[in-house]
Amino acid sequence: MGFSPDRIEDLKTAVAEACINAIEHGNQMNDTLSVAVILSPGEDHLEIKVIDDGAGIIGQPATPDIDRKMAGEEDPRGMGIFLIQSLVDEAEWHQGPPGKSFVRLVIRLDKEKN
Amino acid sequence: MQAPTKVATRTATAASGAPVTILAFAGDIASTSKEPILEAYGATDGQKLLLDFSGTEYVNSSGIAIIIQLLLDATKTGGRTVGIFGLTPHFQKVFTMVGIGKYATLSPNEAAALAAL
Repeated sequence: MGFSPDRIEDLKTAVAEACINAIEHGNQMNDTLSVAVILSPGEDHLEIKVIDDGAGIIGQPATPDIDRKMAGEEDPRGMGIFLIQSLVDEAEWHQGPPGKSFVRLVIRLDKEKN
Repeated sequence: MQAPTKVATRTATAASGAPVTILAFAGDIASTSKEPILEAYGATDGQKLLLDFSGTEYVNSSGIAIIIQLLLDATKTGGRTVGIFGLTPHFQKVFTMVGIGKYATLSPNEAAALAAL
């Protein structure tokens, strides 16, 4: 589609984190369940949906704080959603269809100009 | 398919003349990396430590958490100075994004990392 190598790396990390969340939190590590990844190219963007069998995210986790982590006041983990939001142009978490939930990611070609 | 993490330990000398322990990672850095990384780290001593990511092409958020855990122990508990080098440009950006650069110098290569210690 014409994305730069840098943007492709951003997308790879964001999709990997979304899949990890789907497996660990959505499907609760149940290896009989699967995760679907649907890529839909548009004229100036690529949309990716990562779908699992979980209830979805209710509320957004707090932005991770490295100082609190280094002070032992915050779990060192919990960077996944922050990374997803930082690396793509849009990230939305949705509940449904029944029994499923998904995250929708979008990266835009116009970011190439920045 | 995830590449298992391997950790090799070697020594070097900083620009200041101080001895430096280098933990060189190979393979992916993810949740399964915790034991090999923290075991290798636990066997190190000395005040200056470098983490070499030149053999690593993939780090995820669980891997970053392990590095934060190591940094927390090394800098806060052990009073050690830690540097990181060899990250791909993408993961150098990710490490900076999550704030690791505040607690460990991020250098492009070993020579620059040794000079920065």
